[in-house]
Amino acid sequence: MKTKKFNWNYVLIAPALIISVCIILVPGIMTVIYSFTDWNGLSPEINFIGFRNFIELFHDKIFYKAITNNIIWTILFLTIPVCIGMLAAMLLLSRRRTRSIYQVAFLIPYVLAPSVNAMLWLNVIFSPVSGVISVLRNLGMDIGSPLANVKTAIYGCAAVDIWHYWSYLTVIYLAALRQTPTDQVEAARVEGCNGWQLFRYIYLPNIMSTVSLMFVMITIGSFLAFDYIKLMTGGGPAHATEVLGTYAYTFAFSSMKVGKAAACGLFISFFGLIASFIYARISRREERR
Amino acid sequence: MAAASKKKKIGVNLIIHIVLLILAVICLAPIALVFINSFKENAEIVANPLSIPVVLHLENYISAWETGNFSVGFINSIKLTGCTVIIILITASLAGYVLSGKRIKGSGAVLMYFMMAMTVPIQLFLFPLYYVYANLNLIGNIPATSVILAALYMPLSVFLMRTYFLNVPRELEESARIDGAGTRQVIWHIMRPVVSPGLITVAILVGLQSWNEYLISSTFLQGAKNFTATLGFLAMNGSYGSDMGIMMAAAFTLIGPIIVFFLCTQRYFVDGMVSGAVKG
Amino acid sequence: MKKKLIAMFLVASMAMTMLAGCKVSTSKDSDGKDGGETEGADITVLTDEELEGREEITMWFWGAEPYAQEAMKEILVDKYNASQDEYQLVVEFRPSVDSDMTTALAADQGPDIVYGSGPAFVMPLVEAGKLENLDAYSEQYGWEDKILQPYYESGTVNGNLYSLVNGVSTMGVFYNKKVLEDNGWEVPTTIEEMEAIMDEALEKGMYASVTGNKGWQPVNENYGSLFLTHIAGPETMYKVLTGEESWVNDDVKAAIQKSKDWWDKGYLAGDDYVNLNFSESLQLLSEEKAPFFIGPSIAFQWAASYFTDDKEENIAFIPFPATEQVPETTYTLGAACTLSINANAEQSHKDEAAKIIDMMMNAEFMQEMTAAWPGYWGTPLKDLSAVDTSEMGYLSSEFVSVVQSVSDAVNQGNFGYYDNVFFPADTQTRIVNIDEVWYDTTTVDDYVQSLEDAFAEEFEKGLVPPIPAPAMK
Repeated sequence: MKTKKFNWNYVLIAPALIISVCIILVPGIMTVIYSFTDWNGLSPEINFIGFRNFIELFHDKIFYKAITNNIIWTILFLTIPVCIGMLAAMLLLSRRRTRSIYQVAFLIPYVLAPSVNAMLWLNVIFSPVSGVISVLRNLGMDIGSPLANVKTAIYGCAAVDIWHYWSYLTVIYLAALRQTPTDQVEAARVEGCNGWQLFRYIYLPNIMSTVSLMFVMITIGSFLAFDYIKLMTGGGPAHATEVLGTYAYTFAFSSMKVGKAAACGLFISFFGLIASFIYARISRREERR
Repeated sequence: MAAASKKKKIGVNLIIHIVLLILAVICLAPIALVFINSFKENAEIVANPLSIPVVLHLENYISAWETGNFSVGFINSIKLTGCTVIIILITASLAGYVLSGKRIKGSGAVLMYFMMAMTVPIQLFLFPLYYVYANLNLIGNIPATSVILAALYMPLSVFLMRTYFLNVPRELEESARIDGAGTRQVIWHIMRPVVSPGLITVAILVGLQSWNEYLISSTFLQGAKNFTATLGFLAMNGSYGSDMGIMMAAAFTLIGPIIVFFLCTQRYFVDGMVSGAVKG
Repeated sequence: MKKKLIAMFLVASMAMTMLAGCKVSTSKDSDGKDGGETEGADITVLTDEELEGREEITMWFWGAEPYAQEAMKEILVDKYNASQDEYQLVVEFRPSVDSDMTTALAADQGPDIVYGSGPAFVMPLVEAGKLENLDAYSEQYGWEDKILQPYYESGTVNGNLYSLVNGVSTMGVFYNKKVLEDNGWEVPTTIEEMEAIMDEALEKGMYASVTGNKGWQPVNENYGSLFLTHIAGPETMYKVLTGEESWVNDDVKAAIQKSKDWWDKGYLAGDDYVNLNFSESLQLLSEEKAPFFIGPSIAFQWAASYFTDDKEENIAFIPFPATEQVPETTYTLGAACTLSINANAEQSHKDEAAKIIDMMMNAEFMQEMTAAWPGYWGTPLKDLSAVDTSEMGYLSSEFVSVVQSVSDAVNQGNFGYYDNVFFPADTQTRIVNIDEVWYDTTTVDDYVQSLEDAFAEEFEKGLVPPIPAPAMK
């Protein structure tokens, strides 16, 4: 009956795939290959050295420090912005009229460039010459900059990134919350649920799929973390804020070890991939439901 | 009883507003400080960064505009952003259409591929990409650079467009097909009007991202005449480190238009972020 | 829509009330840059139309301060463009010049004149064949006879010249004369005297010295190099860098330990080290918040922004004071930047590039540039007698005398090795990481061992620049 017709859909998806394959997949595969070489980025000579880059990384204390920092970063981002975002979303849910004004105010840091945000915090807040810290110091409150201390530097960087990021979660959670069926909410109200119970038993189960998707996105993003750390501390002091992204960048552009940088970069993708596989499993299970 | 509960309600509302206001202040205060300090001389900022300017030093903006080379930078930024947005809109919406529903074999694999493409650290691809671009003589070419940015934002855009297409009722397409419409007509006459809010959203999201981008553009846009506004600002960051007043003016020159643009388009912006993550 | 309008109106009116009653100023009231004017009256500045159709000779440079960019345009670009009628020089100021240059050269692209942050940066480029051999040009222009031996040699690889150092930079101590006077402190001549002053300064609530690595982590390397020169001593460093001795020795350890002691005592700006850059540090020095700024002599260029008007002569520069190990006045030899020629440029461009580089290698150029931009253009010439300081501002003439003393010290063999000139790339990165020791994330012994490991690998590959011999005891 059916004659085999040419499927135009393959043509339609081609441009997007071609662009992505040329720019992302091919260099990605090359990066995998580089990770087994000692290429310095310049020399026409490339030697395959097997797993040496990986073995060296596994013996490198700073590499573990970077992974630890990535994990700290992930944990911070999975808790603080998620909680603030959820709190703000719940509060906004009841503000019908003022909601959009608040949303816009919250989102402004999110739309600004990382380069501006980092400059702004370094010079306006943390600087002992021209920042809020200098004002506090003149008033006798000598709180040092968090970036100056190896123990707090990573939290200082994360704070700025969280400041820029949390409102994004608010908007998303709010939209999900608004899709909660009103009859469920009404019924719970009649039963006499308080605010917390309402959230715990009505809203949260309803937005669970959004929450778990955001967990995955945050995890992928946390392992890719680069911009803010590069711009604010460059990985210092004493590697206190080194993450895989900045560490790989240093290998490629300061030490001239592109092979090792590639090996380091593979770990970034590795953790991101784990997160996306988990997400794929979750969403498949949900589709089946 | 009624009066008491009303009083309680006012109290609760007050607390909610206070919390929200505190959050808003945390978000906006640093930006307000940039604005205030952009009118002050360096010495005034050092003396007290929180003070209100006595004299409005508009020359900060003039110097910032000149040294940041913003008159060239803004035009280049618009070009780069425009090209990226156009490429994304065409390719991602077509791909989104195909991937909504099972129109081709292996659509699951393609989706998985795009998911993977989100996890790559782009800063490590600079060497191989640059090499190819250099051999094709594309360094400093703004449209060519925008292709890289487009590839970078492609996964998210495809996912977004896909959700928009998923929300189009199946019957709409089916009835058109029965009437004898081909794929081209379905997309242009049936789908396009329905998903056009999605297109606007993707355009705004991608536009903001590429406006703010600096790593790719600083590597691939060589020649000062090709610098974007963000790069002009960063160049000042290195060189003008000393005069905070001018730095702040430059920062505000860069973020002012974005804030205005965002205020005007925030409705679509919010829509877009939401539809990508919230399944309808 | 209405809501949005109200919100916008509120924001606008808030801004207006805040700023209401403020006077508006649109003109610069000071252009107090040191010696900002250059006597360029005899150079005809060509208009854009006149330059049209000329081939471009390109050069990339780091993002210098605007007044410095202006000086470069007047003294180098305009002069070159007026000197012939076929080419024009185009200088691009790029904040990320190092990584941009590496990526561009890797793909056989990049500018005709290659900027490098130091000879260590040049080595891998030479090895990969990206840079032009300059021997023929050196002969043509007589560079070998003109340029100080250690600097000339630092640009050679296997005896062939590939890069020239544009300007001398050395580690030393800037001090605020007024702060020392007001507190009854003498200019220190030994490290003990200096430490005593810094202790007192800390007690008085001042910074012991101001410095910091905000935005540019490699600032750390200044202090690594400094202590290696003055505590480990040039002789030990010579042996270490020529492979005669291991890095793991008591002198090197003592040097690293000394830097750690200084860090622990808060001598290096204390907790503010990571929140200050050189520019801000010099601002604090000018505001009398500290007696010292210990750093490279290229910092003169930032001093020019803050030591203005009646403050101008408050600043002075001395070599690092005598230590028990190195009692002689000794200078750590560093470079502002290096200049090379792109091997992939057209032949005619290479010839012009060499001509432009030669323009920068003479006393007259140094004099004009230093008058406008103190600190960066201390050309490493053997003979600086032609440099006339009588017309220069205070800072510029101070800087010239620093360069002259460096030149004298080189002739006597009293010099140490700055890492970006004499250490290979990975070893240099390890020196930048000296803050691992400061922050106790590694021990002195482990750190020195890691220097040895990095160096040994690079030494074997032949990546170490030629090391000039110091005066041996």
